Amino acid sequence: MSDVEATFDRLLKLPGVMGAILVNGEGRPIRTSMDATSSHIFAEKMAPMVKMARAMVREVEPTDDLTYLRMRTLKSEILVAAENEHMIILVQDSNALDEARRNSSSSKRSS
Amino acid sequence: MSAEVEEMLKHFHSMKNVAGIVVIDNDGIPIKSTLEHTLSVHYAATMQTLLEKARQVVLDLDATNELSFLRMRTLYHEIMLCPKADYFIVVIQNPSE
Repeated sequence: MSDVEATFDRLLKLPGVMGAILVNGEGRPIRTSMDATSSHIFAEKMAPMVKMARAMVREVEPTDDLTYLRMRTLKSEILVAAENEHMIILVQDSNALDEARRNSSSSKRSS
Repeated sequence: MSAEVEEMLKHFHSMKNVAGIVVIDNDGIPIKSTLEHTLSVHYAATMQTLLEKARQVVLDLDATNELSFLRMRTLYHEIMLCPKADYFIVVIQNPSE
């Protein structure tokens, strides 16, 4: 369990993180950096989304499976990583993410 | 519209490891594809359903927000969905690692 905790804490340090939620197999947020209401809403919305994405992936190719899903919106990026029953939802601010990506790609180019 | 689509296809073709590109209109019909027909139709149907679901989820979470891009990593591929006004594009990439 401490492995999960460590991963969770690492996630919180990523750029522009607005919230991170670890959801168990029953759809309940078991660790979260957001308030309870938002956590529940996100967990509730993302579970069917992941289920559908997984189903669609398998439909096109039955041996394939979803590892993660990244939804980019105007304001934020929502990353949902699903493994077995658990789900990690990470919400990051779009501008902060873009900035971080620009910085990392320019530093790669100059080195 | 088709000039814009052609431009975009050229751009995506220049990306590495592109396994396929499908352009699908709002009726779920693949209007341009680098994959064979049956597979294109399959992608069209599944990805359109998924895109609609994703759009709805984003609106439910925040009515002033909008989905601009969807990316899925699977065991074998990376699938990107890019929604536009009259169509959407599916790009399937094989990750180089």
